[in-house]
Amino acid sequence: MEHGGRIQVQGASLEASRSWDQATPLPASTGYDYPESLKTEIGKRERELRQRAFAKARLFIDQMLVQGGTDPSLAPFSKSFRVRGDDLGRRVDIDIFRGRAFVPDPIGGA
Amino acid sequence: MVNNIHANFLEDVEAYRASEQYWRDLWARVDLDESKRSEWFSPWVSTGSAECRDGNPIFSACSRSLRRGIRVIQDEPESDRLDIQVWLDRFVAGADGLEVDELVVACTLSEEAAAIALFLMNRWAANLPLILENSGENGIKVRLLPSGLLGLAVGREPRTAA
Repeated sequence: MEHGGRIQVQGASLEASRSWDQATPLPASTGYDYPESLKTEIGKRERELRQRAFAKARLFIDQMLVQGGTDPSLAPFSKSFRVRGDDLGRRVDIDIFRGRAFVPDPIGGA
Repeated sequence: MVNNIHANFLEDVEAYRASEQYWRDLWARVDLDESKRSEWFSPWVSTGSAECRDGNPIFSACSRSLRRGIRVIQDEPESDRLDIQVWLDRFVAGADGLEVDELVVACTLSEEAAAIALFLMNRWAANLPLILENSGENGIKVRLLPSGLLGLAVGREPRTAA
């Protein structure tokens, strides 16, 4: 597929992710949904410890959405949002393997 | 206590460029002969767009032959304490699906953090095993010891990337 990547939560014996591999660019709305579902999956404590990391990941999606999505010519790339000072390597990663992500939702579609 | 360098790099474009240059200069100090250095290309990964200057990453390099990458993330300082975290990860390096092991250094920029990064880059670029004394699953914490020596923080089990 032309567009692929993942958003994942790592560290503290935890590894959870949402990935995509599809023919069309990932809409920003889905990009926002993935971390939200990861927050639910990892539970309250881990969610709270990663609060700032999740916020920074969301801010990155915001920035890319404003620009019309990530630049496919710059893929692959990886963004890691760490929990500062954490001994257990807690972080949230956004990995773009190919194509474009976080584009505006199609008009009339989800 | 450390002296943070280019602390305002997220607000000041010139400071951002100076930070990028700092890391390029540090990479130039990695002890590699010309033939080995030519195997590495930099930058390897971007911030996601040309307009995105968030230091994530501020520097990257990759050797396809070694299947190794280096990614440096620079964060804004929150104190004058040494702030550096290091972990190993695996990442798809290109459209051909080649996977590389990457050394990720996330830090605020100080001479002390750069010295640790240079030490790690030297070993990684020379294809030497890197043993990270892990205090977590995928990360380590680095501390400045009272003696002035840099200590890779104690952990339960060392993790080795061959």
